[in-house]
Amino acid sequence: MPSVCFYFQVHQPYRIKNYGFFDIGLDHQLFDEAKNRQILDKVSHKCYLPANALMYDLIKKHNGAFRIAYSISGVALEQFRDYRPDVMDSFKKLVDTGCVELISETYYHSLSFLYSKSEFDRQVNQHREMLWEHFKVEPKVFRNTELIYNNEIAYHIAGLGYKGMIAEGVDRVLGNRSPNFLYHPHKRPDFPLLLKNYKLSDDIAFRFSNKAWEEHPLSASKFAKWAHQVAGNGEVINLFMDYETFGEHQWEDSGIFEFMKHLPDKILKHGDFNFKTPSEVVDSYPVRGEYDAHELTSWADMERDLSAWRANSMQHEALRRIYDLEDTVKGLNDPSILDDWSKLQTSDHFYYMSTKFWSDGDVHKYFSPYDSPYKAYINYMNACSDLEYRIEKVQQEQSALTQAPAVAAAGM
Amino acid sequence: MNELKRKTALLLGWEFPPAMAGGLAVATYGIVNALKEFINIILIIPYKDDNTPEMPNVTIYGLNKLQEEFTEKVLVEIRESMTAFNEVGFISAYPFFSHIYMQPQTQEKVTHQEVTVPIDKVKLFQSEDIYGAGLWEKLQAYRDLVTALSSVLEFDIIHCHDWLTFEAGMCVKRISGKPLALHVHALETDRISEDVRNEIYQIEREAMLVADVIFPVSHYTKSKIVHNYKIPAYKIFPIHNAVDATIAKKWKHRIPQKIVTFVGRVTMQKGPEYFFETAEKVVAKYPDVKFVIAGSGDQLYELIDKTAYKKLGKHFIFAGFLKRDEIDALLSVTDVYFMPSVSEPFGLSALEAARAGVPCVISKQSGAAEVLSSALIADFWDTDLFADHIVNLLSHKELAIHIVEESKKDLAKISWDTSASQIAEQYTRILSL
Repeated sequence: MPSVCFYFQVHQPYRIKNYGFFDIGLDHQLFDEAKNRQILDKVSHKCYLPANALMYDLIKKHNGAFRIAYSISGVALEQFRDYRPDVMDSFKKLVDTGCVELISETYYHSLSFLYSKSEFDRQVNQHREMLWEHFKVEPKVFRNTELIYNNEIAYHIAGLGYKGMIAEGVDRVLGNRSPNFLYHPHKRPDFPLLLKNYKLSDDIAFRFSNKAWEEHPLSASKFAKWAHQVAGNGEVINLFMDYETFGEHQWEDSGIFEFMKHLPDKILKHGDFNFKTPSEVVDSYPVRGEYDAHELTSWADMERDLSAWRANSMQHEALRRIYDLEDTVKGLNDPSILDDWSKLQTSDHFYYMSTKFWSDGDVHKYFSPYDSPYKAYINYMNACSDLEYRIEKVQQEQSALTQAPAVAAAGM
Repeated sequence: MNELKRKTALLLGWEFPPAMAGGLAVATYGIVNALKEFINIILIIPYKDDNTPEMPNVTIYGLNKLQEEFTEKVLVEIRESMTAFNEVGFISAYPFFSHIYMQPQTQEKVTHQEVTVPIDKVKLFQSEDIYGAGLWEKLQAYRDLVTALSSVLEFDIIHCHDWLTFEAGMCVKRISGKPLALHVHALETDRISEDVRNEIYQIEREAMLVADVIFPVSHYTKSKIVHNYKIPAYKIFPIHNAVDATIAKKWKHRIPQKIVTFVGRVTMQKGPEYFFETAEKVVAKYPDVKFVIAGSGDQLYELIDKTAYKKLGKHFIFAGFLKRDEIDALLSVTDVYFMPSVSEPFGLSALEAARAGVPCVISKQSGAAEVLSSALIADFWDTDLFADHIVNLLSHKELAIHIVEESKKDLAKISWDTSASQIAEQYTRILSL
């Protein structure tokens, strides 16, 4: 009985403002509130509100047969809470139907696992608390930022008590095996992995509106036919994608909403097929094989590795600089410094510094608010300088306080 | 020199406020503003707008505004001076003493030619950005428009600023027969390498051969002209640039770390790789320092990359291309100014730093080192010595104060007025007044 498992990623970073030399030490507002609001409004209008309305209608229409999952980053949730409570409410409405699962991730959508397990755990906990506060749910399945995954991460997640984890189905690990089954990490058959079927997922998320694609136009019937071909040699079809596929990456006039509107119908026409959330998939199917990923993989670019965020010197240096501050920041007990330090860990900041496709102009460039990766790096490093300036100030104040009693005792 | 006040100099400029990319605009303005006390000036520049400074005794033509001056064709009088050699033979009774010698004969030829003024090319100069793509097209247009414009102007001497105006200057000299002075602010052999022999080099050389007098901005540049361009030294007279005495406002804030500043184009000529090497050595001995780089250029990305690769990211702040008031604000919080140029004809930025009360560490291979004799210097490749100088200045306040005081005395010895009067002296000599 093949199950179609949809998971949509919802994320918006706190983008840094244009931050120059003269701002360091003077302007402590590192993030561009006006721009972040404006972008959130735009994406809410084009994607979140209409797509949520569509999903809600589909859930109601199919009476529980249509079931999906979202992972919403903590920084996105914060921005919904503060800037667009109506969008927050529309997600709440979806979760309240009982047909929508929420996935766990790092609050700040960060690469923290690669630098500090303790920081990683802190962010995962913070995200769980946020999900409880707003949705009254406790997530059971985990996805790491940008589906960054390997055996070691899986062991850690299993150790945190999750019942399963989401990852990219990377060819070089799968070999010629199909992603349409549950797998398990090396030596851990007790921990199921849901692997993205990248071919079918990307047909919707990337190729849908590409007129040069031989399968264009993609109708719901055609896609359902492809899905139905999995019957007999697959148990789950994992369709994982950015939620902005609906209205932002694929514009409304491409027909993406119409496509999605008819898809559940067409899929369910085949009696053996159903929709399940990731938890339900984990409960329904056994693990069928080992997925042994020693090296880190992700769902980004052709390489499906970490090169989008951590390849060139600038990225390495920026990541090193921010994570080197962990012990100092945590020792200060200053909430606003901790908050800014955390927001500076969001993976997008390093993505903007990528020089991978810069000369060609490609996917990376579309997503970046900067003219060049060098501007992104300079901006980020200036923001870090301000953060370090504030840290030093607080350290001085705190050491002055501890010295004061000694001075008084000296009778001065 | 009073006779000079009745004369007119035709100055051909390229950069001029507000169209500024580097020191050329500042220097051209400084010269014009001081020289106007000695002689009437007509200045032709590519771009003029309401922000272009107005000065008494100076008429400024911006090519971007040349619309109404010309009809389609202009009758131009061309005076060509031709020197021919007649062969004269002399035969003596003793065959081994016979020789043939050449006797020069100079003729002046005056012709008239109708020249079509490419008035449509005026559109090339409509923006403040006078460089950019299509530079060669702009230079051709500049030459043709300037030549046409000059044919209806009255002047006694032509004075060109930098290679961009040299071709126009040569044409105007040919047509008007007036003497040509070249102001050399920079050389291609500084920008590229001593062996370069490209188009720009050829333009520079040809103009210098034809010119009646050459004004390089330093003795250093004079020696480069003689050495690399093989121009005879007798017609080369160095004229130092200067700075006017502006009092800069102090920036209201400063970070606790020491600041070492570089202002200029991040290009090979300015020594960015030596800058980095020095910075690395400084950080090893004096870690509480930030290097601020104010400028942009073709070597910028490589420099950024290197600072990241060597894990020194937090010690470098890239401020980008700054405007005048921002540079002054930066200098007001700078502890050391560092200019490791590979070959710097002058280096106005160092003088601006000295004016702002900042001790300077500069390359021996620069014109500024001739003026700022109190600055700490080293050969451009000697990053060990540069690093020592910088660390000494950062660590010892008294040394920094002493250098700054001495530099102020150095600055007092130069001025645009002095330089202008030296130029006026040369004008007088050439015009045989």
